[in-house]
Amino acid sequence: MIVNQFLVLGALLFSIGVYGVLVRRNAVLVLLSIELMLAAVNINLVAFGAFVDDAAAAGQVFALFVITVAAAEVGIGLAIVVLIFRNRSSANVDELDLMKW
Amino acid sequence: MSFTDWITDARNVVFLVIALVMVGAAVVVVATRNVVHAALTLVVALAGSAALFVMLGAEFVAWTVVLVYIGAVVVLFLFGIMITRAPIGRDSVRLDHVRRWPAALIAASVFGVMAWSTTAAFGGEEISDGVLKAENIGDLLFSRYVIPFEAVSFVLLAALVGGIVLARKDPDR
Amino acid sequence: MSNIDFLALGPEIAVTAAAVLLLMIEVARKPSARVWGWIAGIGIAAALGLSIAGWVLGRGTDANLYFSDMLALDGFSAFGGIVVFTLTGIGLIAGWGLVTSLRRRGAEFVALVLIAAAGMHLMAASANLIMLFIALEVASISFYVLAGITRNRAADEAALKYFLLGAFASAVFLYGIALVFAATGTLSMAGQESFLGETILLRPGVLLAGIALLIVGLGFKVSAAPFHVWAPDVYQGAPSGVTGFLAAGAKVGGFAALARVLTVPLDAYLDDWAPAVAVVAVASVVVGTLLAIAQDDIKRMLAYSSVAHAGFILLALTAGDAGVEAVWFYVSTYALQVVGAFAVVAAVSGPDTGASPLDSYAGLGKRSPMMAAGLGLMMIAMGGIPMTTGFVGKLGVFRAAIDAGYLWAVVTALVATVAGLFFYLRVIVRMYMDAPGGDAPALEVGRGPAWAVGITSAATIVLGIAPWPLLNMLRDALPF
Repeated sequence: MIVNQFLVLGALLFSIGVYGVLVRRNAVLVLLSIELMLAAVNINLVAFGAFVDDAAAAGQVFALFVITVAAAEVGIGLAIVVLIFRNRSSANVDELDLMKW
Repeated sequence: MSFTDWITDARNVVFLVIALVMVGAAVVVVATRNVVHAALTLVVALAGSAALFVMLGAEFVAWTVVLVYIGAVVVLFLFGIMITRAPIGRDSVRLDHVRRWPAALIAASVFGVMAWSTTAAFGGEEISDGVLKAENIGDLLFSRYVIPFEAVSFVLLAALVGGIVLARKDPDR
Repeated sequence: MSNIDFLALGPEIAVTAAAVLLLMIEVARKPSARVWGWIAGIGIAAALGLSIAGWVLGRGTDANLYFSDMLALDGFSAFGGIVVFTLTGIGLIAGWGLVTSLRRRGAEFVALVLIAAAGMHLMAASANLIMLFIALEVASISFYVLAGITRNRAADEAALKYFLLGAFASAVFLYGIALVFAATGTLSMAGQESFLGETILLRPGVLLAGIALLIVGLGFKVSAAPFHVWAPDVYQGAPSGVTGFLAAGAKVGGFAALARVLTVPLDAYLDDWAPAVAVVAVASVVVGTLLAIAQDDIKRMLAYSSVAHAGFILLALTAGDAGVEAVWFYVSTYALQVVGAFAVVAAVSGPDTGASPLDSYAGLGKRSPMMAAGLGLMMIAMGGIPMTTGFVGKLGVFRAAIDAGYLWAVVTALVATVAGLFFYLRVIVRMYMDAPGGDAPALEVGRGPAWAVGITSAATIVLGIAPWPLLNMLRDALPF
């Protein structure tokens, strides 16, 4: 196994996630795309960690922290989505009044 | 290293299969018209990443992905989808922007730049195959990484308090 | 090995202990808002005191990395702590009306402000990219919730946009960290600095791509163009009582992180990243200024002006190490101006509402002379007129950028500064020349906003006329 195969896979998953963030209108689907980007980051981190082979296992430990933080982010994100839905019965990001992106 | 050398290694064949499944699942996540299918195919992509972690000797990370992501986060997503009654079933108009081609162009150029600039830095360097035990990770988490570990607890506290503040209905209303 | 030093972690312990104590007392006793205020005030004061102690003991010393290279105790982190906790205190005072209007949820609001303050200080103190990422998330997650705290239709939208773009930016930032890790083999900033200083990378592509993603990710957080799309909607939608804290906090934390990452580990690649930073800086100044002119809501206008200010601060970073003093002066004084300006906004349109149309400022000079004078002073300072901190700050960043050889960027920024005066002065004209619409009575101003405006105005004038004490202090506020 060489480093580059993981790099290409990571870059591919990351850019698929970027596409999803740009194209999706539903907040939950945007969040799913962001999870794909984070999965790509984790693959890179663990692969680099195995390649660098340092005693501190920085790659794997960082991946664990990314997973934890991502779980917290999903929790907050869904709380906001529930709040939005309660206020206006829709979870589509650009049905919001001021949305201009 | 030529492609024929690369592909004769059995591990690389396994990698190629997993990678293709993951990319396919990722495309479904961003392209499907069914929200529930998107959440469920994310499971496939994440399970693929867990399999890769096992190949890379990161067993603890692999199991964490399975337990936390597949076991908890995706379930949370499904809850979110059901609570907000997002359209289940085919409903193409409401899920995607019309600007699909510019987005695809941007994503493709991101991929091109990233893949080109990063793979150029490495030749055929091999990845070493040692396995890091959960025991060692535990030791490191509570010695070298104890401060980030404590700080993460405040990420979780903020998320917990914030989730309750935002989603709870007020008792005094 | 003196690996453990609780002074490096003292401010975080103080504010997070206050936050946890507040939540527990709230569950058990349901005390009045006054009790929340005391707990938060003591926590912030203790954190500020510990930051000052860290400043006295930690600046200028050499071996100052603690907890396995996770945290730095140097002039940079201590000064960051002083700025962060000062502005947290003033921000809470300015937004106290929001706390009381939230009723029982006010306790959680105060606790989240304290946790966000801990995160912002950790961003300035991190000496390891793992630590920096987690610090960024502690602050960001608190910010998302604070933006939506009133849960009305404007605030929920602000929270969602902030959250989605912030999470996206975090993912980009993480990818950048992964690539820098790949290039250097370590996540410790000190380790990266020595590695990159000693090694010549034959194929630096992976490092340069990583640097680019780090700049993009943090550029989102400080709302530099073209990554600023979230700022206007979040500023406008978030309740006015907390917008000042969000705006100033994001800038201080983001620029502390950006300055340390770019000048410590990546210093050896200054010639590669400085042009990119200069381009982003000029884009921010131009886009921010042009779009601010067209706004008719003062919060949107301040949002676009903050994009322009992010550009000015980035200009100083093109000088690398030599620009850090100018960055600190600008960002700390600008943070005070923002908190002061939003305190007036909270007084005029209510601390728990989002929008604040420019029309409601007509005749403010008659309705509330003090608030009008305060807002007028902040506008003058943001415009960069002499005798205010805004002028000294702009001078500093321009000089740093000229020394670094970015004359074209400085000339563009100067033109934008002159153009920017238009919309800052328009607010003043509105307040003093126009008659109040209809039968607008005299504005009743609470003690909170009055104190906040008073303190920030005094600081803006005093440090504008006599900036030398702060400038001398900043010579020691450099990263390790």
